[in-house]
Amino acid sequence: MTRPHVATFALIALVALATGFVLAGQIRAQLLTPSNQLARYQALVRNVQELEATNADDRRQIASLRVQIDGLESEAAARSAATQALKSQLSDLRAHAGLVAMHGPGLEASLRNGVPGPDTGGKARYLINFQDVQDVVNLLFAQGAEGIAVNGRRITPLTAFSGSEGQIVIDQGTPFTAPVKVAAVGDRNRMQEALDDPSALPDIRARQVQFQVHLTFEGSPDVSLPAYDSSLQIPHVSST
Amino acid sequence: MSARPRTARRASRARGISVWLIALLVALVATVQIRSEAEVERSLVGIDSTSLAFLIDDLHRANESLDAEKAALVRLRAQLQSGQSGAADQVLTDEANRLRALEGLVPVQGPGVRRSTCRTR
Repeated sequence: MTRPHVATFALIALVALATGFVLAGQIRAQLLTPSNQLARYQALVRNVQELEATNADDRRQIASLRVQIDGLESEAAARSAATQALKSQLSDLRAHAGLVAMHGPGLEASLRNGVPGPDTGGKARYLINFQDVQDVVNLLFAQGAEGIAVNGRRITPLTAFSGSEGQIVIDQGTPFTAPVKVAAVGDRNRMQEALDDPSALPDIRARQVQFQVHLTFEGSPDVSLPAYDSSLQIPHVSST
Repeated sequence: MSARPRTARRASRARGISVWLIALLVALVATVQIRSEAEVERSLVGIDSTSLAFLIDDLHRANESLDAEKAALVRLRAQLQSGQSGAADQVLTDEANRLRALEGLVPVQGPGVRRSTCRTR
């Protein structure tokens, strides 16, 4: 092999090596960024999933503890007339607080997202949000509902609605999105009339026209509501 | 048959294999790259990392409240299980009073905020 040949080969080898390094660097940079981003995101998702599982487990335990306590109270009530009277009062109070599963005539309303459209408000108004659910619940309570559950979560006197965009959080529960099912037990006719009234729920009515947001309902002779399964602590309150 | 064409055939086959290997490697790298980008895109659709962080914070707080409720219920159960005379009556009375306060059936007091709004011209 002649000297110019060797020099050419060496030059080609050097260029190939440099190109290889540049390519490897580029590929690593492009692969690493998304994979790190993905790993971070997956860690956050895993964290949320774990917390949601803990939340569900805690609520199951709370429901189970309430059943055990009720059983122990019933045992005590069987031994004394005075305790029986107290237990009876407490049962009424628990029913009003939503701590007891109930069923009876009522209706089931369903709220579903609409379709995105031109919106000047800067909000995703085609999505069902927590205020919509709150509005429906308030209307039903005002029109004869004696108990309400939203997507299986019982509403109590301390219930708080929160969320952002299309996410809805009720009390200490996990967030959910539409479709939302509101089940109410009570005066079925009054509740149906209220939901039929075009002047009620003006914001939802406007968005039904603008974004095809759905609000449908159906009366039923027997609607079942679960017992409340979260916290009802009032640590700062004392009777006067 | 001479040894020369056989050597040439062998060299040609080696070149062919090399080309296939390089093509395979390039296809592999391209697939990994495209898939990882697609996965990032797909998983980030709907909810961003900041929202997830807020969600984690909310869930922590919610779970702490549930823990406090569980602890209170365990205490209540222990009181009822103690079987001491009058224990059940005390538990039932306390619980009834708590629920009356919670349902707004009795006047209550405690720390809080008072907010008033007035109309300005």
